[in-house]
Amino acid sequence: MIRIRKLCKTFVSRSGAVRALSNIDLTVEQGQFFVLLGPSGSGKTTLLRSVAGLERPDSGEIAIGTNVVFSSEQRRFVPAEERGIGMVFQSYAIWPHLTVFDNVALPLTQGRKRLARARVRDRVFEALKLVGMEDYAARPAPLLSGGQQQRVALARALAVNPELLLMDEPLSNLDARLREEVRVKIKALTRELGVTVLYVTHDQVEAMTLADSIAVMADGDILQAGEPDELYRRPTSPRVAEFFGAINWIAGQTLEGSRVETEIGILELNAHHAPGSGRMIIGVRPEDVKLSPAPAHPTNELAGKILSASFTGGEFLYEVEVNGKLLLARAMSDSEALKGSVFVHFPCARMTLFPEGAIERTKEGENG
Amino acid sequence: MSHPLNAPNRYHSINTRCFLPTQRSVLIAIALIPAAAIVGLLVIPIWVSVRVETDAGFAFSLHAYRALFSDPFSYRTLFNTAVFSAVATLTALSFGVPSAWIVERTTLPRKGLVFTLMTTGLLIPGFLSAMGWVFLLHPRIGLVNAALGLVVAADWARINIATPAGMGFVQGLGLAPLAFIMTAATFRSANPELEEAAAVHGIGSARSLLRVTLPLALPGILAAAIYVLTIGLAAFEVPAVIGLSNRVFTFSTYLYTQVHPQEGAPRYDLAAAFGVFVMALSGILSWLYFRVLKEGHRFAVVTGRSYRPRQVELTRGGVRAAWGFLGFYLIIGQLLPLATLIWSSLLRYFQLPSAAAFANVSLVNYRGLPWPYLIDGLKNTAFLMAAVSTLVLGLSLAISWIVVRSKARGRFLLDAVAFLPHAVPGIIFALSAAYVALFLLRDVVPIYGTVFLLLAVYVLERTSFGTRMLNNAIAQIHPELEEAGQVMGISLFRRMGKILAPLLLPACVNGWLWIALLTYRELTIASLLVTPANVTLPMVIWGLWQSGSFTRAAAAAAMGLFFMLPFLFFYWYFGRRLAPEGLRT
Repeated sequence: MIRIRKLCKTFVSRSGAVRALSNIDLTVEQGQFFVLLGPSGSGKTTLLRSVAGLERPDSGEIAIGTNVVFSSEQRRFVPAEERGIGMVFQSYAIWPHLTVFDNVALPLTQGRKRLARARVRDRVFEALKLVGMEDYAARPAPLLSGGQQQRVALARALAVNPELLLMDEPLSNLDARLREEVRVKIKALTRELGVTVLYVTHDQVEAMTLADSIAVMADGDILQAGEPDELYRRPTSPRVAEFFGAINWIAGQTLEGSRVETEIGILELNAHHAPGSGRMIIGVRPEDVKLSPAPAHPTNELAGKILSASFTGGEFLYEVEVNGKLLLARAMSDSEALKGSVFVHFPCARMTLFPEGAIERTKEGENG
Repeated sequence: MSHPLNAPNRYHSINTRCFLPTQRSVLIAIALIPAAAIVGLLVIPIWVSVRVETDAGFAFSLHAYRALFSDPFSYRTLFNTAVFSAVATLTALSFGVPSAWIVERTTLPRKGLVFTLMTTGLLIPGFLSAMGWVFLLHPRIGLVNAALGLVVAADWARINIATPAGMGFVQGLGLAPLAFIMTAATFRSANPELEEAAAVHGIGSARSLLRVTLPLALPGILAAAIYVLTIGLAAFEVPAVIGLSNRVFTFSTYLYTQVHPQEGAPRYDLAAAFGVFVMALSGILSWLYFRVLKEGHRFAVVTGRSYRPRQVELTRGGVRAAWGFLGFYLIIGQLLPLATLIWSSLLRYFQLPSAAAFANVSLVNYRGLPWPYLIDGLKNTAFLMAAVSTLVLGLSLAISWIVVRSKARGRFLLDAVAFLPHAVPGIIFALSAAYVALFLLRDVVPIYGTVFLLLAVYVLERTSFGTRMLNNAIAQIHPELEEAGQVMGISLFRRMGKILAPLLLPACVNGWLWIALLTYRELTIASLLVTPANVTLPMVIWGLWQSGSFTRAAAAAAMGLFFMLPFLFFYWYFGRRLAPEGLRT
């Protein structure tokens, strides 16, 4: 549905040039819910706005469906108003001088393809019904709450019957409870309509719950693209791993076979990790650090000591010391919190390996 | 069953319309017309001042500058201008700044009224107040001087308004509302925490005012001072009413007499040379103005949080003193000269109010007005008000949209050019336009002596205000409101009509009325471009004054004030917000 090749964009400001997109390659399949995830300044919004036609990239190519909408080689730039897409903006961009009905109707009466009056009415109400706002049609826009504005924005974007729906942080202005509710609704609705969605967010939980596929962006680059669990379980860089939540880093050195001598003791790794030779770092997420009061596993189990336990509701967050190194562990809170000496198990399938220096390189990248 | 919204998409074909100009380029073309005209009008004086006609055509020469700077009269004019504008600035600040502080930072009751009156004060034509002041302070017939004469017979006990300082005082009274509005903004945006910090640490409120409030407001006050000085430097109306007949010249009246000499041929070269000199001066002052504003931002008085500045609690005595001060200004600055003017219009010759004078009150001056001429002027003025305001808003919308919203290259240059008429005295524009119409366009477009010449120059002059206003107004509208329309297929012109224009409507109504009112009172540009065929109302009034029929001029002026009332009412009704900052009066 979307095919992006070698897309580059540099912003020049008084303080210097900022590389917002550097050589982005990306493909979004028909009907896919694709999320662009990254911290602010990573280029995700610039990429979305380039697809919309609101930014003009410096070079590269963008095709939507079979149409090339931007190509620096062909010197082609189709303006936004002719790309025929729907979009939900971060601010919702509900026109404050119009009613709910007129907000949804305006693109149908003033847009590229204008409908007959009666058709407009039907189409507007169909769209408002989808988001449950049909009873508010006559309401002036300034009288809507944030959540209602968000729904009208979605209805307006869907009413033009787009094959591609773009969403720019649509939930970031809602409060936490409403956000969860709307998230579920957006997912169900877009699935039902079969529309292709390109969605920008900086919230990894939002990304993982919504996406069929995620591209993690930083500094104008796509670090990794794939399905949510793949990104979570098999990040290709420490930076992606850290982006999806807390992770413990353990330095080590390969011994013979799949054994690694680490700063906390010797650990056995899976064959699929295919450890090269030399120094490396191992990443393991807090929920994969298994604690037990008595020995429970034949391998990869080390003695440790619990320094603190915090109750966070559904689970405990432990600080454990293993051979002088502080690690984070997370466990369900269905029983009493553990205390004192424990056994710490590292399941070998749940460990991720990177060559030594990967973290330092990441840090440099962040600073530079 | 497939959902209706899930029907196959029909938006597949994308035409790129290679052959038609895009709406954006049409908009840019519209914006470039006034910009090019402004640049043209500013280049003309330079060109006129350095060329000399020879047998072979034209040659480059600095003779005009040599003639200008070897004539003692030029130096006297410069000295007069310096005294005039300095006194005007001081007067404007000494009334405007305390008033602004009182209104913004004290608990004075009913102070909203002051804002309304000050905004109106900006619209009262300066030449009408000047006429009133002549009736008050004329050496022979002036009301105040006559009263003084009852006490002391000697000549030294007369106040002569027809001096550079006297005219400066009158001009300053007229500019005080501008100083008020500009510094009110500064006082309003002051961070109260800075003063609270002083209070908590034991600094009393009087000391706090001197040591914290004023130093923080200083850049704003200084910027206002420079701005007022720039306007005073080139002010025309007061020197034209008071100075011309007494042969006391400032820059703008000098320029006027060079183009409209009582004897001999017009000296466009001398006028242009002086114009270029003052343009350079204005340029330096404008640069200083922006420098000071920028420095002011370093204090970061505005933090973007919304808060109400700390207000000084006024005692009963304080309230009386504050209203006394404000009332004093409103009476001598606005009310007294206009009341004197109306009083004079009712008398055959000027006399002090007395039982005998009241017995002589009549409408004879009104009956004696050249009514057909006056109505011509009124018609032209009405046409100009409607046409100038509408055209300015249209052109400004095109320019401001390009400057604020588009990413077109050179948009900042376009913005700077649109701002230029703000920084360059209007009389120079008029000089330039007169020259173009008389000598360059005469055979091509015979526009001289028509109302369309006035229209063109007024529009160019006011576009600076229109773009300042719309730049601010557009910047306050979230860009995503337009982008949402764009992404959903609404073309640029339709977005402007259906989304931007309705959102800008309040600002536009306000701006339209403001421009119309300034057009109504405009005399400076008209003085060089009006002929009997395209006379405006202010020119009729001034013409009567110049011919020496003072009381009939007063009657015409009273009619002028009368016609203005409905517009003032509309302005209050629709606007009732303060006049946008940085207005040119």
